[in-house]
Amino acid sequence: MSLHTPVVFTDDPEIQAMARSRHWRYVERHPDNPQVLRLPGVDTLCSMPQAAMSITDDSLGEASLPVWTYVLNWLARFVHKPMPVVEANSYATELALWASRTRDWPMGALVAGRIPANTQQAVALFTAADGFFIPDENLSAKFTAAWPALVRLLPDQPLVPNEPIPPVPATRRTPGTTRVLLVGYYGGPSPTVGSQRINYWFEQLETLSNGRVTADVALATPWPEAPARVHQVRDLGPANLVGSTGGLAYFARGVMDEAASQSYPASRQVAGTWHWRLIDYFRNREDEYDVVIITGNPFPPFEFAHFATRHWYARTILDYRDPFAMSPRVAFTPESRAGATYIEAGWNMSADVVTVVNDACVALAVPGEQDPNVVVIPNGFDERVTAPARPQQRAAGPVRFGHAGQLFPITPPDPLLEAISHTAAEFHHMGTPLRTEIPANVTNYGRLPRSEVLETLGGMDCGVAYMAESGIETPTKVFDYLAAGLDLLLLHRGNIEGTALAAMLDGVAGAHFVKDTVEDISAWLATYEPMTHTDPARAERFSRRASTMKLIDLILELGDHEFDAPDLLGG
Amino acid sequence: MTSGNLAAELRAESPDFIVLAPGYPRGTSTGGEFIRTRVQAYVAAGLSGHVYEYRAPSDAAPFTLHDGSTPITVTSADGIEALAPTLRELGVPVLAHSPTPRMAELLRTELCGSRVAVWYHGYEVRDYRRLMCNFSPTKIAGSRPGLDQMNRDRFAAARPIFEDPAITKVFVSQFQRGYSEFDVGATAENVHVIPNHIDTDLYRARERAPEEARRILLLRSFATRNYANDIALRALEILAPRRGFDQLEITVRGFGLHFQREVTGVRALRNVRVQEGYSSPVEMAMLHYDHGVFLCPTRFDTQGVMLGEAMASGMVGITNPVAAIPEFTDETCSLLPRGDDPLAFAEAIWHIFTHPELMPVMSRNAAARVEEQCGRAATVDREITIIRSLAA
Repeated sequence: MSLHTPVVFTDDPEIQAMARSRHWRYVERHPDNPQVLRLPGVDTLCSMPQAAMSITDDSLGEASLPVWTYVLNWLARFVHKPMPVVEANSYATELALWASRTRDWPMGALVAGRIPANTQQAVALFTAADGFFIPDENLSAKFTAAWPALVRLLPDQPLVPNEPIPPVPATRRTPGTTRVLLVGYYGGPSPTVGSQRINYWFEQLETLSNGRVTADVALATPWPEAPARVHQVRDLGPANLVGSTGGLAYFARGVMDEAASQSYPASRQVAGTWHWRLIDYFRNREDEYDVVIITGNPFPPFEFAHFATRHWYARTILDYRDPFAMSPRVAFTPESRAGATYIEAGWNMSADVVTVVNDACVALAVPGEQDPNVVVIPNGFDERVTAPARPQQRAAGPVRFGHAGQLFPITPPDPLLEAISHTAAEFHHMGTPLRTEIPANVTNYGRLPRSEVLETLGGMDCGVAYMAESGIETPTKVFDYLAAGLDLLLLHRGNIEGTALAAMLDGVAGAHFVKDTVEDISAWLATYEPMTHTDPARAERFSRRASTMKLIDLILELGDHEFDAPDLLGG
Repeated sequence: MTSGNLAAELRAESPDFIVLAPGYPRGTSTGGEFIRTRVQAYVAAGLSGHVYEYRAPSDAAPFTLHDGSTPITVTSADGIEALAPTLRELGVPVLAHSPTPRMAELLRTELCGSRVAVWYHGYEVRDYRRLMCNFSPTKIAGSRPGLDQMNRDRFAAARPIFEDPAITKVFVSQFQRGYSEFDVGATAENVHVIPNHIDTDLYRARERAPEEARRILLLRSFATRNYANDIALRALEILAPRRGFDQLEITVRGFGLHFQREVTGVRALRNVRVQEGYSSPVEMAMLHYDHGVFLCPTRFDTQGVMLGEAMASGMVGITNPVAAIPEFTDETCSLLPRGDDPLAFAEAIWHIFTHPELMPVMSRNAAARVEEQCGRAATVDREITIIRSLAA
């Protein structure tokens, strides 16, 4: 462990005062010349070669590199073990990322004013930062709720301890075992749905395969006190293109030229260059993986599959979960969608298998072959957190609708609330509270841990989910409703034929597809009688265990090095 | 010589066919050997031809050499364009191999489609990303913009040719046809699938005896990684510690960019003879004769001619069932460990070594399959039929 001095890069007097109160240092830009930096208490000023460091915009060119190097030297000269604390998308963001890459300095993320846009630099800073400094408590709560990874606040003390990530021993070949490397940008303590998928696989592949499969995981997001076999490989954004001497790596110019020529420059997206850090990390290790599974989104790390094939002779699975280039939810321009489609085709051409979460997503995977190998590995409910046993008889009383998770503006609950307002039915919402005026028959629980969500759902009759017009979603809440033995009310705007949920729930008792209008819901309510689903078989196939068993079969097939000898001579 | 001279020369010759190729072997210039063997076979069948290689710069004066009785004129694409009216007027069949985008345009617009046959050998109508194995991550990072443009240019040029039913298209395998149509984005009309000819007179079948299972040959270009020699060499390294490995007698011969690096791990093995160098067809046939098992790993082949030549010689191949390989061999004549897997490849080598009784039957099957699928009747004779139909 080492102790570092946070140095906050800010021109805001209030934040400077807060930094001072913690006995931290701060750097401000000179009011007369914003390219000049000053450290209070230090007479020596420091000049920046440009108004902001921009690695992909020639900040590390021959003329600028020595000056930026001087900036770090200046900091190191006047601050004991500096830890830059910088804002996302600011002049110093890439400076901190570059210092981390070239000098292994820890860094902090300053969030002030408002939640910044998720640029590549911002996401890299937030995922790679050793801690956050968010002076405004309200903003801190808002940011923590919105950010899809762990938010650790920097301690309010003059020197901040920095624990190096412990090295992970190499994974070597053992007979009878298929060694899997899972690669995901978000994972571990990150609260996202995508994290649940990779976390479950990491935790359960070995158990569910009876030891025939072992799993390592490589993540960009922090995982304090991570279990064994977690490779924490920080994403340093544009600084991933930096070589060990501080200048651009020899391949960086090619990456930048490529981005300039593309209508969808993947390397400029979030995590767009993270695979270069992964390559750098794994290149000189002695691991031996049989199968590498890269899970999106973000999708640019799929580039890592190329390295995995060359370096380990590994089979590769690209786990899109949801569509990338053909996603109806992403507002691509026609040119950028064409560019993304071309890129996806290239990724899929080289992959051994593409996986998605449901049948509707299969149709939206860009084929790289005439007969693409696209396999559905659904999400599911985590059976390790059990729902309370369902009573054989439903308790008397009004119909109780439950909704878990976020409600989006495009699918407001108003028609349902209006329809039930004329009845005794209740609506119980577990998630970010409703902002509309709350009718008497609505209960807001706020965000709950999943175990409490399941327990609360246990007292409901029917789980509510909204279907987007694209019909490609299979929301995880539906799996939890199934785990809790509820009826399902699936409110839709468009046709249900061909949607992922219609396919998934085909033949499932108690699944009600109803058009999301007051009239249709009211008409349905008039005849609805809740059913009690006590047979665990109804839900079993929707568990993560069931889908992971399917993945295990795929892994064992891909990881099989056996040679099937011909039987030419009749045995 | 001027283009006017070229036209006059052509009128005077009145050949049975014209070959247009971006490259043709002559002197020390290599490339296009597949085309040359075809031309020689057509001539041996009594046809007369004239080959035009069009990779010279526009301002270079054309010149003519002879390969046996066949004139080979080295000119530019401009030179071919100037010759086009004469070709059209004479109605001579034009056999275009691997046309460049410009030549594709010229074939389509300046010549009569019913007189034209286009041979696609693979790379001209293939997304370069199918062979990502040939690029390191750092190399591809700098090369993509140019390669992407090349994709666009090639596919745009090939698309109207694919769709023109008057123009005859020849692919060497169904696999090649399939991915080409997919990558180009058009279904090819008027198609023949004719493999490259394997010269079974040169590569004469000799049935292998069981004891020849221990005599192993790796004879392959090391120019690019799609030839996958690394897989076979890693497999030998995996097998080296096994009891009995020293009974194997292994020859590794090849040339190319990756040779020195790839063979590093097997140089220390006493029973592996490493030879760097190009082998002529006759030398290849001799090496085949001296060995029993042919290691032919692959990541991508549109046919696998090297494998076919070894099979024709009666060797038992160990190859991978990837790309077009399953069209040209099966488990009755080759061992087929899965692709890109040194462990599986090692097991296949060990299997034939420990089951030498398989050698005679697989050897016979291999030679018979090549004769039937890639012998003269299945290849050259079919192509001559196409030439005659173009002339009719």
